[in-house]
Amino acid sequence: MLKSWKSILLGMSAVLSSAAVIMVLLSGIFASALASQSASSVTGNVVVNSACTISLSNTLLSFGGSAGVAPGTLSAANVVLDTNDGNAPSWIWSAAGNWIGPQTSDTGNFLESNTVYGATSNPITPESSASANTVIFLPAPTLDSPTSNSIYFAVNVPVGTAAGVFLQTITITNIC
Amino acid sequence: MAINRTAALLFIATAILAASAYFASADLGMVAGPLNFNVSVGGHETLQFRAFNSGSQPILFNVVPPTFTAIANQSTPSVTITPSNGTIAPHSELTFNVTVNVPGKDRQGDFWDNIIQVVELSNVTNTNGATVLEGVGKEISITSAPAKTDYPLIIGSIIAAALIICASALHLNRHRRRSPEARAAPAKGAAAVSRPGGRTSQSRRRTRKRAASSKTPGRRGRKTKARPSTTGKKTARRRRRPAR
Repeated sequence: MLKSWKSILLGMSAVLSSAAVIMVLLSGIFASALASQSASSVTGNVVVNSACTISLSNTLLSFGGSAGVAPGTLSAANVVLDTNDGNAPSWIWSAAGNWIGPQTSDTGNFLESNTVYGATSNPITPESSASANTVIFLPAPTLDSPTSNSIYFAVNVPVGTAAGVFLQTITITNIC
Repeated sequence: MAINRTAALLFIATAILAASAYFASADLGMVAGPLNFNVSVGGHETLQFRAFNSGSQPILFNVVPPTFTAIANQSTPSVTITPSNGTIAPHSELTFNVTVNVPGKDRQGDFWDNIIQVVELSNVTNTNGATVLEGVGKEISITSAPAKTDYPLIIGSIIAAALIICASALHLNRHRRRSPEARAAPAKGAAAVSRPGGRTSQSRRRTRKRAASSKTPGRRGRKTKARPSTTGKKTARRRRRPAR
């Protein structure tokens, strides 16, 4: 009887020891698997360009509103907010075309130089057909903080200009 | 009170929508940095720049090339930009090639500068007042450099000239060596053709003359050549004599 108990105990101890050996082996396999996983990490990099962008608050300017502008007078100024969403500083340049009137002949039009621009609500610099530096600066934006600046426009309607609707195209460019 | 709250909420919602619309419109951009050309007189150079569209809508654009202030008695460089118009797809960029040609008549050290613009074309038609177009751009400067010396071309020309001279010299030398007999050769050849395999009467006469002249003293060298009819014995005797 005693012998049989001994044999049972021996058998159990043998089973336990073999289980322990298997556990040790498995832990080693898992450890090596984990180690191999950590060795296959990926390194990423990105080169960020230096750039500037443009965004204008309004792209249609109606001088004088519905009341219009009388010949020989200067309209009230319209403001355009220019925003740079990039990361490089930029200068605002501007150019304009002639005012095209309702008459088919050129005699009904007037020159682009009657439009004036500036950094304040009293603009005085005449527009030209060739793009020119307004000397209005947009500093380099910082993270999530775009920079903006205002450019004001007004129009001086020449004496003797025929009544009617006149159109013009102004181009605002951020140079960086 | 409830109406005030509703109005405030509507105002906030409108402000948020307006702000999102505002930032969504910030689409057209330009990679910063000037384009500095240093072009040799009579030469050309190509540089590139990039514009991008960070928005979700395609941008129709037009490129405005630079206009330079004329320099007295100098031709203004020509600038070609490709593409000059087109579309920038959403969330993508476009590379532009700028090629500058400096005329050959220009002097070195001249300088021109202006800007290149990429302008977004508007699809909105204004019925009153001014339409404002958005654009991005960069400075372009051109300096005319001294005309480049094309060393490979010069070296190639020298080698080619040397080869031609050598070839012509060799040809002349060959012609001189051949000249006296070569000129007579065609006549001989013609006669030989008339009697193939046989000796011509002219050659026989020459042989006789040589035979006759071989008898004269002091011209031993020609004796053997000029005696086609002599026997081997006599020749042997005569050859032995100087040995005594």
